[in-house]
Amino acid sequence: MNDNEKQFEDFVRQVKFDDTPDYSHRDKLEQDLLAVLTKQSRQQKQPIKIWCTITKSPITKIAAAAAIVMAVLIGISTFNGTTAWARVIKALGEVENIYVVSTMTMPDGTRVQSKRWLRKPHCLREEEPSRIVIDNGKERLTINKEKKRAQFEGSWAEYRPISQDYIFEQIEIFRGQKVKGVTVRKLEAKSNDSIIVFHLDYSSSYSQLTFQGKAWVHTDTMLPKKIVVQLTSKPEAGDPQSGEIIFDYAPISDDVFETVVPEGFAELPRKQRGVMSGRVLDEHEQPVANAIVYVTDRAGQFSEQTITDESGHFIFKLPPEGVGAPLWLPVLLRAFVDGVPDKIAWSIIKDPASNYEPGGQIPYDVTYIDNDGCILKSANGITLRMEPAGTIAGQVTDVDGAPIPNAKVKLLRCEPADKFGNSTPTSIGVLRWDGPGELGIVRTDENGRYELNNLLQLWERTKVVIHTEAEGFVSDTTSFRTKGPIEYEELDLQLYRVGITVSGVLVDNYGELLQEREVYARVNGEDYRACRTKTDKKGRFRLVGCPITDGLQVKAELSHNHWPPHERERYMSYRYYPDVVVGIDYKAGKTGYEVELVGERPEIVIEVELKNTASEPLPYFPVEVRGAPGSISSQWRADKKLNQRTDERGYCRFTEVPNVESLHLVMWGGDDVWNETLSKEQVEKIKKKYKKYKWTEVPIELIPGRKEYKVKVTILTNEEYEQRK
Amino acid sequence: MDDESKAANDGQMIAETLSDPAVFVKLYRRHYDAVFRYCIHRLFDRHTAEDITGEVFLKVVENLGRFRGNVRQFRSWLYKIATNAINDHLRRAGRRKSLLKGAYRQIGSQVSDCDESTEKLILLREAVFALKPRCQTIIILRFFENLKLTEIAEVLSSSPGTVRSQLARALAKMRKKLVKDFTD
Repeated sequence: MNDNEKQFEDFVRQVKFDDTPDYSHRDKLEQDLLAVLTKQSRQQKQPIKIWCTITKSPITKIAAAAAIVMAVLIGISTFNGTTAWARVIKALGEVENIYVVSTMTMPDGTRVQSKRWLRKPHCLREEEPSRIVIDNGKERLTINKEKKRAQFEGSWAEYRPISQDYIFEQIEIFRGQKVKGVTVRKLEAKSNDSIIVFHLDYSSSYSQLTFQGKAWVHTDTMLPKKIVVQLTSKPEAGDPQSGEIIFDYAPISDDVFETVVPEGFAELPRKQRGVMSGRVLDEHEQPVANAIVYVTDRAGQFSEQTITDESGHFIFKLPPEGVGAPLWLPVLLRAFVDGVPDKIAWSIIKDPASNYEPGGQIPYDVTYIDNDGCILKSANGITLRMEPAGTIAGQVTDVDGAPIPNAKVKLLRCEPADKFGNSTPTSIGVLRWDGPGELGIVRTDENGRYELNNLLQLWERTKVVIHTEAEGFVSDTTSFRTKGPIEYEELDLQLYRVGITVSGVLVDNYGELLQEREVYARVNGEDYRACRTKTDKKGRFRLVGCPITDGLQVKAELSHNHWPPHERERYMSYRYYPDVVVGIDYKAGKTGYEVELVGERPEIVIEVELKNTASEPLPYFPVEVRGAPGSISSQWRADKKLNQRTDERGYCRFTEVPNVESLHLVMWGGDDVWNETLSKEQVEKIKKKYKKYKWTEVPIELIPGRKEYKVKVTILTNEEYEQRK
Repeated sequence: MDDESKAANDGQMIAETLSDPAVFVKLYRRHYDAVFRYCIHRLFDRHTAEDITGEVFLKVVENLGRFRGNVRQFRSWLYKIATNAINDHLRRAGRRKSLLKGAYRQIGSQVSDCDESTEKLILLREAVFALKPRCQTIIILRFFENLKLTEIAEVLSSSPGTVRSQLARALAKMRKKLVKDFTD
């Protein structure tokens, strides 16, 4: 980094501004995105899931075809009536053993066979041409037939339970759903009392795959006995042409799962799982026995706890490589002794890709760490030293000050500030601060008091986010920024009783019903989006579970177009209104309210004439209509051309201007503007010419009942302005 | 598995898992803040930043099937989309300078207790907005989002060398503007 950069960085450091995201926006956007996502993937979802399974497992297209056949079979039994479906589920639930032999015939006539034995709860054996895997729930043996090698490791059963094997999963995917592109025919002639035979034709709507299949199914359980599938489409390279899969549900004997290295095979040293190990010391460097050590990775996917031994040592076993449960950096380690609320030992193993520079000291004493990018493989010699811990305590009450016992108070997040004093949930990278187990969750006593102990003290400007919930109350998330390290913070929390239902209708001032518009509650002037809904086709809405308070309001957010831009027609036909907020006429004890929200159609017309002090018209001068911040969305501004240039006579005209708070015009010559037909050179010329003019704001005073306004503005140059001043 | 095919595999995974809403939510939550912060640093207006953030993730949803790359590349991809959206917005609205004016007001209300810092912020913004969009992107990514040169290069589909020289040039320009403050 050169001097310029350093100086600049120093400069940036001195600049502070609030760039903390607004989580209500995040959550709202999330809902919108999910709606789009679901709509988009509804048609592709099934195929994706199937193909996902195929690409993950060593089986190929034929097996996928077989899976479809199975799915169809399940479907048939479902459509026959609920009892049949219940029977299948029961049968599957009761299946303890499955032995599957699949034989694939390649286009050149060679046959490839693979076998799988599954026995609940945790025994598995897989045989493929090149390898054998045996997992008996304690040990896992992988035998490489080509290299004549074998290797032991710990069982994967904990991470890949047999009951979640893909065979069972396939069936879950299609629970009660029709499979597209399949025609089924029962072959009466070949069926008998114990076996039903089906013929299937399949043609995929999303790929070239077509096949024909036959399935033999046990009548009583509808479980498949044999499935034969023949590809009728051209197989891609490496794909088999046809396949046969045989299922057997007879008990499997123990010797199938015996882990023995075959003769003539070299045994590799046992594959060790990664561990995190270290010890906990007190302030005098003495080991702390019986301390509980908690470890949480980035998003809390790996979240476990253990206890130190006599010499203060602890060890965590990490999930084996290959099961798809990696430990993401950064990892947060915390340790304390139960019953000692004022001490904590902690550390964070950093994400190497993160440039986060904390605003305080993070204790870090690790001898050895092995990582692959931001995935931790092992970390040893971790020393955690006890230091003073912080406490956040207070009382949870309702709005009248009555304590709420047994309310759940949860430390959701700590967002330590970086060296610039800024903090976001992702800055330090640790996203989950509650858990494992009940860590970070306390309940209030009969006086509504709570105490969160053993907290990291961290440093100033740390954002602490606390979530409170209690039965019969609206749950609440509060946050505050610390002024220094957290030593003892008193934080009282107030919950609103839940129970008001507000229903009503949303119309505009011409009586048109406004459909599918966003309506939500507001409490004491702040949006409360946890409680929201959309109006129906009749413009009606019903907000259930609003907080009981006389500060309750209902807001219809009409200034934002909630249709996603890709739904072009709807997006474009959206009619904008200023947001409408209506207060509830609260009466103690009354729980149902009816309100009418009336949006005012934007129909003010403003004609603007611009002149300079010499009374010359100012052509192509940029003019913009603005309201109070947030009252006109940027979509609206762009769609309705609330930014314009004057014409060649110095006039411009705005139509559909909304009646919003502090409506004003902004004119500034130095501005470059907007969706116009002027050529680049012209724009440059005009910009040059108008640079000398002063930034001018003209408030529009609206007169009730009047819709047309004419505004004449004389624009001063900077010089003239200075002189007049 | 060599690195290349591993990365490709990762990308495949992202592409696949993105269609699973649960995983998508995870990814979204992981990246929302970064995208939002980047937008607000560039635009200096909370409402616009939120609008643009929405636009960015919508584009992600629409194009998620097409993404190929690993987790790091995913981040760059996000920044790339965000950069395009922001530059589009600036071009569309042509408000590079009126934004600045807006900034005065917003800063005034946000950090009223901290006058010196406010002044610096205004100075900084003024200097940043005087730059071309591409240079703005580089400056903000480098100093506010703390991206490495190689990452910025990825976002801009350029080489680290080019980015370095553009950064130097942009900084020199900024220095001229901010000369008083540099020497403070």
